[in-house]
Amino acid sequence: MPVDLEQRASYERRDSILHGCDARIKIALLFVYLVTTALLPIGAWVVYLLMGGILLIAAVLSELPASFLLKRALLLEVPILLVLLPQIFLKSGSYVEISPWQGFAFSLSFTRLERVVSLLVRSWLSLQFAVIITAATRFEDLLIGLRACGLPHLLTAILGLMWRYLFVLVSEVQRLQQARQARSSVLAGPNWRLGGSLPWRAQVTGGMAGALMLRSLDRSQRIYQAMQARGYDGEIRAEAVASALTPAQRLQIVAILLAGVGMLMLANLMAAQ
Amino acid sequence: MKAPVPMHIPDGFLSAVVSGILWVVSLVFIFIALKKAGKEIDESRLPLVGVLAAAIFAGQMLNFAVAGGTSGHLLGAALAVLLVGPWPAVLVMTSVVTVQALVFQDGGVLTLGANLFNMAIVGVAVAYFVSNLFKRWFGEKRWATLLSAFASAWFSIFIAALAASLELALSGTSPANIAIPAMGGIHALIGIGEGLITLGAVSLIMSSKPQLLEKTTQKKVDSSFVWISGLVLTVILLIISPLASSKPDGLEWVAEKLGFLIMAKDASYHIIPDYVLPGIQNEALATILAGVVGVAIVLVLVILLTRRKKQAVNQ
Repeated sequence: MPVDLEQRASYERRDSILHGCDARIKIALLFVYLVTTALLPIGAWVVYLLMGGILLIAAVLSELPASFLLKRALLLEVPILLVLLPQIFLKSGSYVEISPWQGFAFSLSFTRLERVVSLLVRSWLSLQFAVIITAATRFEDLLIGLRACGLPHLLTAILGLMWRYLFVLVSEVQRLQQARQARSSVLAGPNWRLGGSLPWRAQVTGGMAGALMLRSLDRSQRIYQAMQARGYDGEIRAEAVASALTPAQRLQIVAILLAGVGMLMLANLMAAQ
Repeated sequence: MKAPVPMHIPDGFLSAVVSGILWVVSLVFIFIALKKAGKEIDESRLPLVGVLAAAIFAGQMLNFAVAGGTSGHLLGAALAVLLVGPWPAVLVMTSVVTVQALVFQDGGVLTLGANLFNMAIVGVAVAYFVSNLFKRWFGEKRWATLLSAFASAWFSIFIAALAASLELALSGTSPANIAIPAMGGIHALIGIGEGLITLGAVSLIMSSKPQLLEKTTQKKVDSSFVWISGLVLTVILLIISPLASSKPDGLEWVAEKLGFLIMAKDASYHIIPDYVLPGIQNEALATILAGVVGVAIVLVLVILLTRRKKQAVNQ
């Protein structure tokens, strides 16, 4: 079914403090937060709580509804849970044997459980923070910020072009899917099935993918011709350039870095107990 | 549009060392790709790469129903290789995976290096290696091209999944004897869907615009490097994975020795050595610090929330 891409793309327009903040500061903030969270030891619950507090501040500053932010982050947590969960039944570290009824027993490892819960908390913190930051930053601003941080020009140009045509091609895909639906009858009833055999269905989808590729290659040629007609010579001039950082902004970035180091030291102290 | 299983590793599931190393490896490869492809891309191919990245991203929405509510998807590394050759394909997949991480949270930001490695580098290198191997063995016959489309797609998915599961195991996130069979098994099936879609796409392109597929072989940038890395990656991952999953403790032991593992309880680094702040003071200081930071956070929250209330009332 067509997924509404614009709903899934995380940017949400607001006039909040976080939205107005320079993209480079938000990139620094995100980077420090993620690195700090990744370096926190397993089972540092107090520090996790403090990181959660910082997350809450960012969420409040972004003025986005909590339900919106939570829904976006938690949905993405589900698949990885399936990969993580089985290991709590391993016999490693300190574990107990549980036998709910005769002839059936399994073991539950507390060491692994602590690790899995820690990993889940940390990944949720990271994911939630990334959701907040990207919801408050336009992709175009993110690109300008990344370019200022030293991302090669060619890469930002490709990313910019990709972003420009992403929504065009997604609607192309939706038209392809609509056409397929219109031509495939679905039998009602308990034995309903879509189209013919499995290879046939795969082949149809493959044909759609091929058609999409051909159309986009044609489109890229038209784009190139249009670019040439406007005087393109390999240099993208319209790409916005970020202004220099003000002293206050520099100070903010330094403060963010220091806060990250502080959190790590704190976690270290607590773990050393 | 999301892959039903975690090929995209989220943040928090890889240890800092593993993600750091893979960031460096990916950046080196992407840098080389920018240099190599840059010679070609400079003019006419810049829109091609950008639009193809958008097309592959959009193409990942294409699916077909398989039994039991699951569906076959396209990831597209092999298709990109067949259409534009290896180095531009690295850039195409890099753009796809980056936008997925930065805008749609498919995969983490810190783990983006690892995801780039799995999907943009391993996926592309393996697909290129397999398709080239088929070309050498069977030449340019129609059935050989179709078979190579299927095989390169399947292998690129399967080997990339093995790489992802090894990374999870090396980080101590999931033991190798669980991660590798789970990821490998699921993606062996997903790979069939990918292979069939790629085959269908290639057969359509062959019958409507065959010169597109030939062009890439003529326009080959110096790519023996990709060919060899594809070979090496395939062989290494195919050998290591069964070994690691039969001896999960072995891999964990290696990871521990190399310091990859997320240590339980124990901080793996010491910013303040113990002798500077002896035990009891340590504990007290840590608790006080934690308390101070906590109070500060609550204070900021209260101020922010009351200010928002006021604004709402004023409006």
